[in-house]
Amino acid sequence: MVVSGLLTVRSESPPARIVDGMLAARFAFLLSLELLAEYRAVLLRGAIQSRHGLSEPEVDVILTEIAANATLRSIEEIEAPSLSTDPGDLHVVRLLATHESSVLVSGDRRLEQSLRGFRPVYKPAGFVELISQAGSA
Amino acid sequence: MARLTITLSDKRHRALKEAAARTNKTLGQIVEESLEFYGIKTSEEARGLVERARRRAALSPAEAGKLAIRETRAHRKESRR
Repeated sequence: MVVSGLLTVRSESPPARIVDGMLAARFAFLLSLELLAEYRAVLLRGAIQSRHGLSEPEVDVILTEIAANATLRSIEEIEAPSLSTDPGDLHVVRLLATHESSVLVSGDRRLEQSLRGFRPVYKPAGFVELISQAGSA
Repeated sequence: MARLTITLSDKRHRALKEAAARTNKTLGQIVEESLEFYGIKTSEEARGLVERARRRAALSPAEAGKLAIRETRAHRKESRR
């Protein structure tokens, strides 16, 4: 979500509004060091960096601001529930497991399917609608 | 230029004044440089970078989402190796 929200030129689109909301602390969101490191690594991958054109320190400025507004959770000792998720997605599952009311916002259909019955998964547009109703967006 | 009143211990205040005298700088310049060194940036700076990134990438939401998912999956796959 963070990655796509940084790449879309349409600032009124749901992914962009969610990233703007994270930067402005308009709603509460969870973050782990593992997820933060993943955002960084993906934003610095060649195919992504060549699109946004930000340098490494510039990416860090954005991520520092996002992290400053997040609720940081340690997932080291969190046991992942037995779901048929891709092993690479486990850190997301463990982060979601740190808070029973957590929801995932993602456009990744595969992840959405594997989390069925564990935590609600919102598409970006659905989440924007939800927080707009709550007066946060 | 904004003004800010801060409370320092006598010891720290003395050290700050000494550093300013030693380097021929004002107290404000020393504080400004220290914050820069510490990596304190403004949230406007982060928002400005986000706007620049979006303009340059110039992708539709669908294209951005597709690329983000593809590269995140590739990263997770590589991380497992």
